[in-house]
Amino acid sequence: MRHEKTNYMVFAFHTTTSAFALEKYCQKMDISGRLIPVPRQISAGCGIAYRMTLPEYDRLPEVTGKNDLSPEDCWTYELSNRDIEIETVKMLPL
Amino acid sequence: MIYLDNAATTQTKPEEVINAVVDAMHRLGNAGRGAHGASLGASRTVFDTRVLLQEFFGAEDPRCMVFTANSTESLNIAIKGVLSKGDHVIATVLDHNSVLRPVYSLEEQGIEHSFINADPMGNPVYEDFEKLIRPNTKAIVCTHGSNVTGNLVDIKRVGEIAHRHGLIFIVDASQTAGVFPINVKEMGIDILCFTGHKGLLGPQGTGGMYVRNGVDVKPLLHGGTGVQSYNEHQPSEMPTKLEAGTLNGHGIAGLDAALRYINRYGMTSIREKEESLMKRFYEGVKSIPDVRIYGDFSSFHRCGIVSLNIGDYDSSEVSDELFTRFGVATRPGAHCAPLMHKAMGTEEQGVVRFSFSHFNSEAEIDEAIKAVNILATE
Repeated sequence: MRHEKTNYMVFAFHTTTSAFALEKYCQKMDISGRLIPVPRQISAGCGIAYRMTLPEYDRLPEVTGKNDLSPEDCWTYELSNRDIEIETVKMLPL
Repeated sequence: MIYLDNAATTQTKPEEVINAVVDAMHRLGNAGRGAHGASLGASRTVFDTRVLLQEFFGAEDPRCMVFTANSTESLNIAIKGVLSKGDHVIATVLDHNSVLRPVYSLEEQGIEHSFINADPMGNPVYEDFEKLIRPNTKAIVCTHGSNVTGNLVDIKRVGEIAHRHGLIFIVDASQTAGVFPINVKEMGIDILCFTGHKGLLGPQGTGGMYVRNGVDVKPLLHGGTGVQSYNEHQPSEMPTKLEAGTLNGHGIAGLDAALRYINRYGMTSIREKEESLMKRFYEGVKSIPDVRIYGDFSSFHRCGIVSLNIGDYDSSEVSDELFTRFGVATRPGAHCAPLMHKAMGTEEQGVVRFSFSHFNSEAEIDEAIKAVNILATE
């Protein structure tokens, strides 16, 4: 498979439920993104992650407020440089 | 057939429930197992239903809602998941075997139990709850409504007792979910166990539980979850912790449609219709000679159940005649609630249970009354 390299922000979750909560939230807030299998950089296990482009990610705190993007449930990873920046994210409002 | 066995399962389902199951069987993959369209479709259905249930029961978070196959599975998870060696648990004689047998099974692990008795009307003796609490009591398990008499239990009152003593309060809502409003916060419920195929009008094989944030329930099953595959242990996060194995996605799609039906039709309208039919039946049979009715009918704000006996006839014979001669489907015997029957003195005879759905008609009730009248007087 050949494809161009694009930078994405990827959210991984402890539970599938949280992944779909984020999907629902992003749809409500009109933030583009989609659910993908968890990339190996994040986890060798199975599971579902949520991917969005960096410009879309930049919009996320604007609509949620930075405080909403703290503790508990998902980590963010920037795949471009594989610097794993762990920022836990709590259950987002639905 | 006049189906009056709705406390066993509601036979008539809204058409949209049936359509939702069929549609799901055409298109859904395995929820949480992959990110292709079929799997995502299943996962979205499961998630949407989880949110509906969260709203339905006033839970704080969709992750508090766990899917199971039925109330029995939920109650086993709850009872075995919160109790440990040396603990004591209180249940009631109103409870079903789905509570009693898990409780009995824990005896050999050194977990003690006590049962709250019933008064002559079949209501729990509320004053006894505090008397039975011991230093090692960990939880109270209690049904919301008796599947034998239809009596409702004052859950809020029991919840206040439980929390005054720092106990975990587990409620079996098998007979009430979908018909009576249940708000886990207002009623002080820590764990709510429900089935999908009775008052919730969903398919058999669906059910679930609410577990309050902060209540630690050990998993009963361990297995595939779709996440954390290289973790040797069951993931600790809810609801995954209590959901090992493939969920019943097809059934959950039906439950989703059923919840939407109830929300649209109105739980109050459903309940009022059931209460009206129950009252019609009760008024129609109560004066028939030799008919004895069990339970508390001082109010009709109760589950849509009327249990009775005719003279000393075996309840099984009566139920069989009701069906074979009049096409009226009822349930005789012990109804998996042995302690309730012991309390009522009906261990030998059993009782014939008539239970109603808002899909029943007044004409059907009148036919059933006529049948009881004939059997009692011929």
